[in-house]
Amino acid sequence: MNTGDLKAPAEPVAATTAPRSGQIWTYLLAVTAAAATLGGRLAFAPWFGDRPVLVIFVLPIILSAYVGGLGPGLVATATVGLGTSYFLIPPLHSFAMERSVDTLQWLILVLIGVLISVLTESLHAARRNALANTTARRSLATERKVQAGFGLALTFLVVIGAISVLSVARLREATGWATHTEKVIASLRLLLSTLTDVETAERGFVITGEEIYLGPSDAARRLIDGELAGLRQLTADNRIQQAELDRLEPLITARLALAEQIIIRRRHEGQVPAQTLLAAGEGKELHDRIRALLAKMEATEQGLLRDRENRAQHDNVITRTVIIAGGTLAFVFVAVALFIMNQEFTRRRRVEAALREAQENLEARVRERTAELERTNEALQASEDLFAKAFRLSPDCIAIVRLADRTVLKANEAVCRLWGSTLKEVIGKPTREYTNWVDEDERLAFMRTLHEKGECLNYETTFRLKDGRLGRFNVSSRQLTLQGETCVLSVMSDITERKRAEIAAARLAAIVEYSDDAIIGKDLQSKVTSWNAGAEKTFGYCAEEIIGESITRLIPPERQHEEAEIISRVLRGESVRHLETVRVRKDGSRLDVSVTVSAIKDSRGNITGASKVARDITERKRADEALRDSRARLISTLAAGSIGTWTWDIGNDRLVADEFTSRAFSVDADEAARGLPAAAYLQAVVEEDQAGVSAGLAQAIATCGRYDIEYRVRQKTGPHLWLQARGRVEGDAAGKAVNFHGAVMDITARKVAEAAVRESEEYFRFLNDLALATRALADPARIMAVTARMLGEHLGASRCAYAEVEPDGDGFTILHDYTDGCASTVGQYRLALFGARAVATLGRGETLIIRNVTAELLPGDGAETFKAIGIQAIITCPLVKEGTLRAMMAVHQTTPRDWRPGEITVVQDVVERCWAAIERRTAEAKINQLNAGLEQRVIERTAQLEAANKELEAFSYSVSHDLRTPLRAVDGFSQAVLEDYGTTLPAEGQRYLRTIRESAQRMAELIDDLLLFSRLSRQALQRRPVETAQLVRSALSELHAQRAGREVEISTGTLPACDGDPALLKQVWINLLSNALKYTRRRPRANVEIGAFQRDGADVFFVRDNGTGFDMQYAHKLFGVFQRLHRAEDYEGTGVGLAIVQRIIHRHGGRVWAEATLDGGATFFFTLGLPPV
Amino acid sequence: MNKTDPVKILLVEDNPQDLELALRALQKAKVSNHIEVVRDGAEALEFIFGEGAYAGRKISDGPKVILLDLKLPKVDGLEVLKRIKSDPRTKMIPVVVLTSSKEQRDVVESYQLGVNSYIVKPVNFERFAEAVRDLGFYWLLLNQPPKVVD
Repeated sequence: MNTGDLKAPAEPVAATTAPRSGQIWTYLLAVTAAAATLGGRLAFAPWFGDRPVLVIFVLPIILSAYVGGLGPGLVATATVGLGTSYFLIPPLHSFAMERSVDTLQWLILVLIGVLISVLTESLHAARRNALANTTARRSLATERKVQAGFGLALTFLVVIGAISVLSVARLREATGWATHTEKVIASLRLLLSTLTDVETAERGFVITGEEIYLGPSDAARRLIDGELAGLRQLTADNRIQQAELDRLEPLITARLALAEQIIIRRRHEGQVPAQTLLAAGEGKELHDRIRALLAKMEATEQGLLRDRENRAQHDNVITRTVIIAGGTLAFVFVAVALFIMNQEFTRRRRVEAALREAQENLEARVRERTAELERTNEALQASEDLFAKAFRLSPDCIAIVRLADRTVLKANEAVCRLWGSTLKEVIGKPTREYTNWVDEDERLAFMRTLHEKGECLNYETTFRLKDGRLGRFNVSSRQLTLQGETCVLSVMSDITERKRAEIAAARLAAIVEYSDDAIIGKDLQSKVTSWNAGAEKTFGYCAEEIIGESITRLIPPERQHEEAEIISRVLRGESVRHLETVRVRKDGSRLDVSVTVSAIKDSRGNITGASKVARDITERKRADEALRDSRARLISTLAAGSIGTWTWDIGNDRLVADEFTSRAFSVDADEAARGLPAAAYLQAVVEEDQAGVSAGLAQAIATCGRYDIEYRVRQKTGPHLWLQARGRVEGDAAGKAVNFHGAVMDITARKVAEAAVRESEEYFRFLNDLALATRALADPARIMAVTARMLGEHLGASRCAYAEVEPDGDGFTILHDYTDGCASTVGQYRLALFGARAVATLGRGETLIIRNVTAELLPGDGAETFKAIGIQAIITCPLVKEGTLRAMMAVHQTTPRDWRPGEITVVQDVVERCWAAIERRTAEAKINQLNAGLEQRVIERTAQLEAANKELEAFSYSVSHDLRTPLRAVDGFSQAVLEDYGTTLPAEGQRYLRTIRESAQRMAELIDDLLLFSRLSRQALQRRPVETAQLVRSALSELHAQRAGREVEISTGTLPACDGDPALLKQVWINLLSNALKYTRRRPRANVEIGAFQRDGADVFFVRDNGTGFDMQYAHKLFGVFQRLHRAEDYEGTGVGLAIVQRIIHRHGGRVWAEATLDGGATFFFTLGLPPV
Repeated sequence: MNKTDPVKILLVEDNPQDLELALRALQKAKVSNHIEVVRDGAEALEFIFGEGAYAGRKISDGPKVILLDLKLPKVDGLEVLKRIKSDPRTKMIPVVVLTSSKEQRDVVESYQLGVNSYIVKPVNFERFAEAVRDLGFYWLLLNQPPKVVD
């Protein structure tokens, strides 16, 4: 299938055939056409008269709309509208309009223009769409419908235009008629008034006889003639009016004649005859008739006008109706056409979408099919490759040989290996060159079978390999026809290994078979797969019975879970070794076995089952159990020492106890063995614990429950015994307590240990609290007071007092004491009053301990003194320093108290700590005092140093300025003398002057060096990391001049970065290197070595030269200011350079030293101290 | 010398020996024309600003270069430098400090005040003469100062 056709896009045909709106030239055409029409209309203005004739302007609009569509159509309409309004419609040269007629006509024109534009555009659009869609025949019908709609609408518009032109013409005619009527009426009225004028003149003349009245009369006669002629002309188309005129004319003539006659008579006969004639009334009668006639004519004319106006009105209504109806119909047709178009478009869009979808589906299917084909091809290719590869790489030897001449047609790599030659050598050669058969008879038999049957399969034989070894091979051959020739396909597999494995397996099988242990194979579903004779003997099943059955048959019901565990371990790759368990024989009897299970894996290493070796260990197991029993008995016998048992028959209140119990409760053992009432035992329980014991027993009996309680029992001698008693009540069926079995255990040791721990905890807590309370205290008295209070509280003592002993060792003062419900002992005492024992003990620095004053002290031995201040028991710790008793801490009790060793230790410990704290505080106070003094001294010294520094600075500033000025004068004027008077001086004098100058210059150098040296001690050290190597390079480059013209070899080793003031360190390097260069000056070849090494974790830098060196016995003078080891005339210098070096190094916290031999070179070493943290 | 004659070099030096040596060095360098010598800081200021004994001197005739010692009686050299460099009429005049002091603080302060050159008078007369010659050559011949506007 060619998919290209489907993908070809539809060409936009419409664009080339129908003009699109919006192109510039169509707009230009629109304006040009409109302007040309206007120009033509103006050029031929006389032809058109005063009528605008707007209808001709529809032409350019139609043209523009047809060519360009909506845009140009509207442009043409606008141009025409503006042009006509300005140039044609009165008032001219203005956009205003005078007459409503013109306005109407103009509006119609504009409306028609707009409509034409819209219609034409729709028409174009319809055509474009029709052309664009060539597939649907229906669209042609639709186009015809749309065109018909638009055609009808156009027709209506043309009709409306025509009607409007006609109606305008009518309107114009009606207007003309109105004017005509007005003219006629005006003429009639003028006629009447003129006649009246004639009569007035006639009467005036008759009365006055003055000619002046006759002037207007003559003019009136001429006017009347003119008016009459005009009237005749105006009413020429009206027979009735003509007839009236015919009657009017004689009357007017008669009236004028009468007037003539009266005037003549007055002129000739005088006033009276004329007056008579006038009064005869003939004149009046004529005048009345004329007036009536004229009125009739005016009425006729008015009637005519009304008729015409009515007709025009009627026409107007018709026109308007036609225009409205026509316009509406045109709109309806356009709307219908547009609706149809819209319908068509919607339908078409739907069709197009459906088409597109179908196309996409088709494409997707094509893609799928293509992909499928590709996959198939690939699979085919892969399979071919696989096949070829399989053939080529098969471990079996595969060869195809033409039967006729035994030529090898095809062979794989295995064949080549078997024959020991390459593929190229093998193909096309006869096979006999490569025979491997060892036994020729076998080969012949094989070939015979092949000839006879056409194939010979799985023939096992021995082949001799290329290297001479023998191997077992499985040979299969078959005849087949390839391209019309009979061929033989042979496959030879090396089965040597397999054979060997088979033999090994057979041997293993024999071992398994004859083993006494049960060796069982099973798969992962626990089905038995193999079963040896040992298994048969051990479990009683024969192989046929059990193979294929589940091995769980051998496992007792309560141990069924073991199998799942074994399997899961095997699956994890672990093996189960010597699991001792119980299995069931066929006859149902149990036997103890030791089971070892390991995984059976297939050739790929997957676990497919498990092998299980089970050994009958029933006998061994029995022996083990006997041993365990005897051990348990032994243990219980041993435990009898601290555990006793008892049984209480509650009903008969007979409690039988063993020996331990009877001993613990101080009951006769024999009686106890026979049974005693419970109370006989319980009386030994100490009073405090009796209630608890009774309650515990009662509750256990009431609930038939358990009993567990700890209590103390009195002993005949020695301290109480702590017992833990546990028991259980046995009830009868009714729930009544019957027997009470129990045991008691001696837990005294545990209790004692617990108490000790508790005491020690309390003690440490107390010490901690004490330390916290006294830490912030500095005043020894306060420390003693707090300690006394806390110690007293801790021991629950009546009083705790601290006393300071006077230098005589006898008098002492209690400054402060803690009391609890007894009087304070603050005051002065004499130690001697407390008896010889107190004096002796405390004097030796030992603790005085009295538990009961009355019992321990004789009346003369201080007892009364103790009693006097209410002391029955006391612990007093002394502080002996330098052999003298200094202070004491005493704990008093108003009652005798058996001080426990722990309590005594507490007092001793606390007092010791207290002394230590006071010592420390005192020392601290002293140090603080010293520190304060020291700080003050430091401040003072700093100020002194600053002042000295300032002085020094001022001094060196002054030296810098003033010391050099006279030197300059010495030098300068010496030079001046040499320059100005040198020629007149003797040579000796010149030399003196030069010496003066040299000395002055040397002095200047000394000053400079000294200033530098003194500045070094003032200048602040700016420490920062420094790249030593870079520093050395820079120093060497500054010393370039000193090396010029000499053979100097400078070797620089690795120089670690250091920390120091870069400017000062550079000075160090400059000085050391400058010295090295200076003192090697006399060597034909100077060697200077710069390097660094580590010693004691610090970097040591050195500069070594092969120069003059020096005698080490003067080494101590080397770094002193102005110290020189060489004569000035040998080596110049100020003797300050090394002093500067030393000062800089010392300021860095480092060390500088030198090693040298006289005339054997010198090495200067230096280190830099660590930067301050 | 007429007071309104343009002065090329103003030498401010109090030490008579140094003065003589400096003049000798300038003569040797052949830049000794129109040298005015003042002996202390106050006089130097009067000369430069046309005040006191030098009233009527125009600043525009001022020296083309001032050689200034730092250690001067009455008004200190640094003060003179400060006055010259803080007055817009005189700050364009190149000032060369010629002093015995190698003290770093003098050098730093001089440069902070806008000195154009700082020369330490060497004790060795040849080097002194060389320095004077170099600076005279430089400031009088090579370095054309902008015209000073009153």
